[in-house]
Amino acid sequence: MANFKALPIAAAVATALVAMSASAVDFHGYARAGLSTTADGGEQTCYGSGAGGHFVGRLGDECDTYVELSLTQEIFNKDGKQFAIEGMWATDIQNQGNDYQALFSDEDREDAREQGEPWSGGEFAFRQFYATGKGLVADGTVWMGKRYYQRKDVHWLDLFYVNNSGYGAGVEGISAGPGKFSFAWTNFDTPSRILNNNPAGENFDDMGTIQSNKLDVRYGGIPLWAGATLELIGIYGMTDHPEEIQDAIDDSGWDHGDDDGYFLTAEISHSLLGGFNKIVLQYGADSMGHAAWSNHGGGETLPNPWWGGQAEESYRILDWGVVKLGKQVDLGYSALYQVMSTYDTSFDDLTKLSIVVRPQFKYSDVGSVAVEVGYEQNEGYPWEYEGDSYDLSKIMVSHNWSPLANGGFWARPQLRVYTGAFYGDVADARDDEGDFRLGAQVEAWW
Amino acid sequence: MLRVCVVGILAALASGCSLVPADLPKVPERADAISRLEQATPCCTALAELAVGEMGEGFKEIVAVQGDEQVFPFKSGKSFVEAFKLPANRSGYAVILESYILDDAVLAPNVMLLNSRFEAIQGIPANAFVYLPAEGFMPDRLAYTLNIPPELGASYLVVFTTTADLAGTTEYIHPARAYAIAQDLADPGIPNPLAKHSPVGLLEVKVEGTFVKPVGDQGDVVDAWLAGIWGASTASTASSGRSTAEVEGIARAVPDSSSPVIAPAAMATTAATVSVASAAPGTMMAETEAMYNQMITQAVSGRDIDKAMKLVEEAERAGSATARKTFVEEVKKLK
Repeated sequence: MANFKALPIAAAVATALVAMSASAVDFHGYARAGLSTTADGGEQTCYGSGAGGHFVGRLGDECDTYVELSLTQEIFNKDGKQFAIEGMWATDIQNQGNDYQALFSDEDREDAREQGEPWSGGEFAFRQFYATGKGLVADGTVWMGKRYYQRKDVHWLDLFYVNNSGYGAGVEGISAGPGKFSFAWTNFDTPSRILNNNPAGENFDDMGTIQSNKLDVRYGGIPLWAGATLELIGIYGMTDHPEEIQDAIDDSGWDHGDDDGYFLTAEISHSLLGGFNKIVLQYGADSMGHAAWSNHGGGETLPNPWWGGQAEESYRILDWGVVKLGKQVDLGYSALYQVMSTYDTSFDDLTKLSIVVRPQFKYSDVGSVAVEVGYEQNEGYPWEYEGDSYDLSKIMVSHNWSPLANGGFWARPQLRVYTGAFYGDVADARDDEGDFRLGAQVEAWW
Repeated sequence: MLRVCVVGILAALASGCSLVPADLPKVPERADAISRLEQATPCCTALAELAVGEMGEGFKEIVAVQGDEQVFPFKSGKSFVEAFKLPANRSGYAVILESYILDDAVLAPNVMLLNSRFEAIQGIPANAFVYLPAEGFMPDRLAYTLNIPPELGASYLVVFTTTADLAGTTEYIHPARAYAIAQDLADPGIPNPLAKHSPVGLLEVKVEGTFVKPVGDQGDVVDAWLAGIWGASTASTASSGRSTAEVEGIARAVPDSSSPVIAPAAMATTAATVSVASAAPGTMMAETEAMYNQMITQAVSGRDIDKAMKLVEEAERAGSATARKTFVEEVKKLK
């Protein structure tokens, strides 16, 4: 049966590995699940998502169930050489349905997922399988396979501002000068039907998937002042068209038939008020023009724009951190401003401003109260909200139980009961303005 | 109707009412604890006079050192002391100690095992404790496993800290880094925090009925036990800290003009404890060295550990460099 394919493979691998060596398998993962209702009746609506991000904060704005389970095992450790492997599979269920949620239903599968049929909507994805080797190339770690690669995120926005994950190979963390250098080759595929958008009217349907390659270079740990470091990241995306397609594109005189592009990030991390603050500057162009605008930037390189409203260029300024304001109060905060220009020059630039704060007050070793206040203002596409700028704001209060002794703000699992509401143009458009929702959710990682 | 209920719950949430199970015991702030320690008068002058708690098999408690305990004047400095009577046990058992790192502070534990006459027979300095990162509901902690065989004759366990330890710190993993490790994220690029060593803290103590695998990389059970008996009598005190022999010396409070606190004669050492080598190691003749090693081997294979230990002591005093190593190898073979 297709739905449980990934599970037995990983379990079999884990068993074989345990037999081979005496060291334990490391079990890591992430999970969230919950339920909710609203004052007006019915389940709450959610404005953000794991794919898009939550620009007014994710607390009380998650309607889905998402679980990642990974197993890591060191399989060799001798003479300064260590090899390890990791496998991870994920389950994503878009709706808060019922206890059994199949991958397929009697109805059309796409529909079932979109309509949130309660006994279906489940999806499995094998997210990672890769091996690492230490002691092979200087003091770096060689890796090959499919993996989450050095991702950077702002937790409460579910915003991965650098996420070049997927298939690849590389070496990370080679000491060179004051910092460490990492180099990777990764790839990204797009369906060839996208190429059918070309001016010569060529049909590329039969060409399978189009591959693009990315070179990811990072130099990090550059010391600035005490407790502060700088990291520089450059990702360059290049098309990798087969000859036949390349010829057809060249002949068609298509401007954006085989675009390359790049995505640059500079991040300063420094200690602040018993915690840390990060200042991030990002810029993306051409095939990676949307990287500094979208969530999970850095993974996609699009050799041709999928539509005129796609970003040809974008930049982002982000400052975020988690600090301590006294023994009992932790504060997570973020301020973000990003701009994108579209391929279609008839659209004005799109802009987004997001400010979110999440103070958490701990009143015992397991109990805390958190408040998340978020504000988002956008200038969107001409047809959005009659072309004016539009906003969304939120206030959410939650009472949490978590092992606070282990990391306060970061302590998980966190069992929470929350209430709050959304305001602004976007909430008004959904007839949800000021409608209090009440929910219970667990968020865990380990 | 529902709106009213929601608002009511909101008010309850905001007030943080006691919906919560029992908390960890509170310990004073480090600065407060240090001044309490400075002002405290020592309870006694001999280890035999310490107040001793029971620690039967199946003991599993969080021992809270909170700054109102008895204070003993060790040579290493005054310290709050927790003392326990160990379980009477025919076969081996284990005591697992975990000192919690909380609010950027930790009690750096030194452990002493005493025999029935309150004489020190084994000492574990704080730097022998292994750092374990937070996991599930367990916080970051310093941990050590003491596998105690009956031959050791251990009757009491004493936990204290030293003035030198109080000046130190323990690095622990920043929770944002733990998050990055759990979620396959890039390292956050910020330094790890340092927990200051405090005279007070929370110590989880568990007694298991059998030997258990040592925490972290403490090494082989036998090595750990032997390291405790013999310490570093050949002066190989690593830069990382003091040897167990030093801890015993501290604990014995042997009359010493340099120390402000003198212990009574009741603290006199016995032959079984570590003694300083009177001849430099490696100065013994090859033939005599080989002879001692052979006698040690015979004693061990004949299961006469007491005799073997005495032979090792004698050999080291006479300048042997390999007697202890031979003993360790032979005892390993026994297992």
